[in-house]
Amino acid sequence: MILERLMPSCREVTDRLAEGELKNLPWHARLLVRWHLSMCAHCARFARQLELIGKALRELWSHQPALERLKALKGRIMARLK
Amino acid sequence: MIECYKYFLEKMTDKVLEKQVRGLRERKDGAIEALVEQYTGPLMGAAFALGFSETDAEELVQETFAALLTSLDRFEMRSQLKTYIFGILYNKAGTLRGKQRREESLDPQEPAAQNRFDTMGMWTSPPKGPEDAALNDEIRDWIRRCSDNLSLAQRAALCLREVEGEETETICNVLKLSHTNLRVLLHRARNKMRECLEKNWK
Repeated sequence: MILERLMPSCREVTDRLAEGELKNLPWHARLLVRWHLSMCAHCARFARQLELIGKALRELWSHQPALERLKALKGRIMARLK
Repeated sequence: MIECYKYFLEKMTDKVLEKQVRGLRERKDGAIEALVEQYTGPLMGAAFALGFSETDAEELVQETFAALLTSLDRFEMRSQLKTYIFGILYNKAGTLRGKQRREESLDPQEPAAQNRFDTMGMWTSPPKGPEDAALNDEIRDWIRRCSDNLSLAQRAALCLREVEGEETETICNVLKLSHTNLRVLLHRARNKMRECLEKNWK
């Protein structure tokens, strides 16, 4: 069937997911990837794992500086500039 | 019509940037305070991403701000301030880390660590590891440890993309990479992270 020939392989799908540029793909390619993901449990798992990694990194690598630290930092920088 | 709108938005952004840079060049107290308040969080986050401890990260961020303010004359405003400041941080981090021993190979032909697909592109060894996208402490811990296997460039790229949500063009400017290089870099980084997590997760 034509549709079978258009269908991306698991390797292609995981490559697109790992590159992280799905939104840059032409709409039909993006559609085919999403279609593949709706039917392939392995690739869907792969996709969820990448999502998991993104979530974890956002937590691990965010920082909320405390007000006093900001003030202290500004002080040190101003002193350096003199 | 959209082009018209985009043009005005760009012009306004340029004006805002000009004003900000002028304030900084004149060492206006308010300008410096705003700068520190705006960028300390993201810069600390980036320093963590690059593998620095909290104390070392603070030192690095301080150095970055100082370097920014003293090099402002050289800043030509062709990129955004954020791009420029992150570039400074990344370069300093590289110097401090002795430019990661592991040479960053950007050869697209280099094979992945494990070939998990057959000639038709189907899985021969399907993905194991976490079933869903639910975070817990065990996973957080492994992901932190797995990120130690990444090169500085891979860590920076992931931070800028996943945490800061930056555009491709911005990331390419900060890391001095072509679009293709960045794509390959992120592809390898994400696969490495996933495979590491898969290997260690119970």
